[in-house]
Amino acid sequence: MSSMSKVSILKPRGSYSEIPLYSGRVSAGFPGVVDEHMEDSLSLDQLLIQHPATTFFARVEGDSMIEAGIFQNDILVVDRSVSAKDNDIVVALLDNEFTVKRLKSQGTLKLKAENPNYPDIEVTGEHELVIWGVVTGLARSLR
Amino acid sequence: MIQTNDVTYALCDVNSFYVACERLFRPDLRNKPVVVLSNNDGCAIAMCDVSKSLGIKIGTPYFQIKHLIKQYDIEWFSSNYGLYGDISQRFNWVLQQFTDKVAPYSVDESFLIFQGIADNLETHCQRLKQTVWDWLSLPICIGLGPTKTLAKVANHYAKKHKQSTNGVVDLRNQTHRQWALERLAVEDIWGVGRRLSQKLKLQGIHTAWDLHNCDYKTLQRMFSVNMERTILELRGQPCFAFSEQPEPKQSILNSRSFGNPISSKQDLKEALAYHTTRCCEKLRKQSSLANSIQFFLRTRHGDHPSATLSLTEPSDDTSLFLSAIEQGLNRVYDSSEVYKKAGVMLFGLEPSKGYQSDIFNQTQQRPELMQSLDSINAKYGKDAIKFGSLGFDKRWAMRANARSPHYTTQWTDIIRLK
Repeated sequence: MSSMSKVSILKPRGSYSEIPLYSGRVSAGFPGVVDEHMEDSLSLDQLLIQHPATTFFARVEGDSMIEAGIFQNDILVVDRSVSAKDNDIVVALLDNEFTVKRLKSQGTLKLKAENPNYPDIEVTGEHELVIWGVVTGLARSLR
Repeated sequence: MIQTNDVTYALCDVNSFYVACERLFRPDLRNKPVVVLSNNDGCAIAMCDVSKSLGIKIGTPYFQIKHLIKQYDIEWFSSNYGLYGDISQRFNWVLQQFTDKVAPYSVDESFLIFQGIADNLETHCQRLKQTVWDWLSLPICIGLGPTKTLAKVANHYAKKHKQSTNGVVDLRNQTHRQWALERLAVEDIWGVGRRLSQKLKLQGIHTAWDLHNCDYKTLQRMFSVNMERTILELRGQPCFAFSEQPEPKQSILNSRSFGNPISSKQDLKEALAYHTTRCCEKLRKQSSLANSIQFFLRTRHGDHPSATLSLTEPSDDTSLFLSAIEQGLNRVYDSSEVYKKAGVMLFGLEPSKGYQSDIFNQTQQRPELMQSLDSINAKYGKDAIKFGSLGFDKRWAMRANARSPHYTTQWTDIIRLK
């Protein structure tokens, strides 16, 4: 007999982490009024994700971005529908390999690590660079 | 200037969809041949153009291509329907950014309606194609025509001549249409198929153009109303409704708009159950098993909540899909919303012949079984389901030797970046 093994949900608005938000005062005896004043509950999805269909998550390995506040095991929110600007933190495909770096497009094209121990990567004609997506958010669990 | 309120149908179709999904998080595979195998790693179900040119076809058994995989260093995958379903939903969302009229036809193709764009429609479609590539790394082809059947024909050419057409073919123009239909065999027309085409050939009808020129009343008498409708569609007269249930291919779909918008969960559940039941009937009728089910809703605000659920092994058992739907609905349902439409799609199909079926599969209507399933789930929760499938987990794992990570549906499987 079969059973469910995995569930994937794509919903335009957040659905998992919701904290109900009430506006206005709750007056006893008028539940109907209270209901009408109930607003959409807050959702982290809504806060961090603008375009659910083009947003993917990635986990950080290593310490190359620590000075941008991005640490090992952090979860990056990567939006592929946003066009990258100078200074954006991007997920790039450099010679068909994924990397997360800061994009420097003023002057010479560079991928900059946010850690002095890592040299900048100058993107020359020998490299093939594709900007896969822009890092638009960060999620970290503290315990 | 073409009349701007003309309706144009478009068929958008992802080239080697499962392969594109596998490549999405594996850029190293961009220029490497890739093959995806069926549920039990039995045979090839999707392959890139290079693998195709090596003679690997849909349905070719794995043992027959083993040597090619080795010789040409082909990357092969067990099917990962969780991933494919998720990407399929994203694909349709992107299409909706270009027109609000999108009808999914299968897991990797959707019909669109464009209205009032007229002259620059090809440019619009090129932009759409580029966007789907930029945002989801999915290569697509688009066929345009005044009817769904002609959009299908146009898509056929776009796919066949990807380079020279740049993936977009427009058959709204009469001259182009004749050129295309003269070169298209009848069996390649949407909904005609091999059996019908043999009969047509006996009548001297070999090409789509031959059929186009037939007296449709005569052929309606000889064949069916559908044949008449196909002929009229070839002539540019729309006969198939936009979201009409097409011939099942690699997926089976059922959907309908509600007469009156509904918001109660119970009503939604019943609507989805209805569609699921119909889909499963069709599934059994064509002697197939399905591995995954996707449902989609449309809200008053035009949002499209949807969910994809996969079984641990393919089945044609309605009750299994019903409980899958219920599980998905619990996650997606929003009591403050009003819903206008619901639909269900089964995909990951394979022939049931040759698949070892268990004793539960001997009857189709088994309310007792469903009841006991429900009560077990209610009593023991998730673990009960797990317990029930324990005996199969091992076999299933063996049959999915090379499944890619669940990149988009499990936190443990998301890509890692340095």
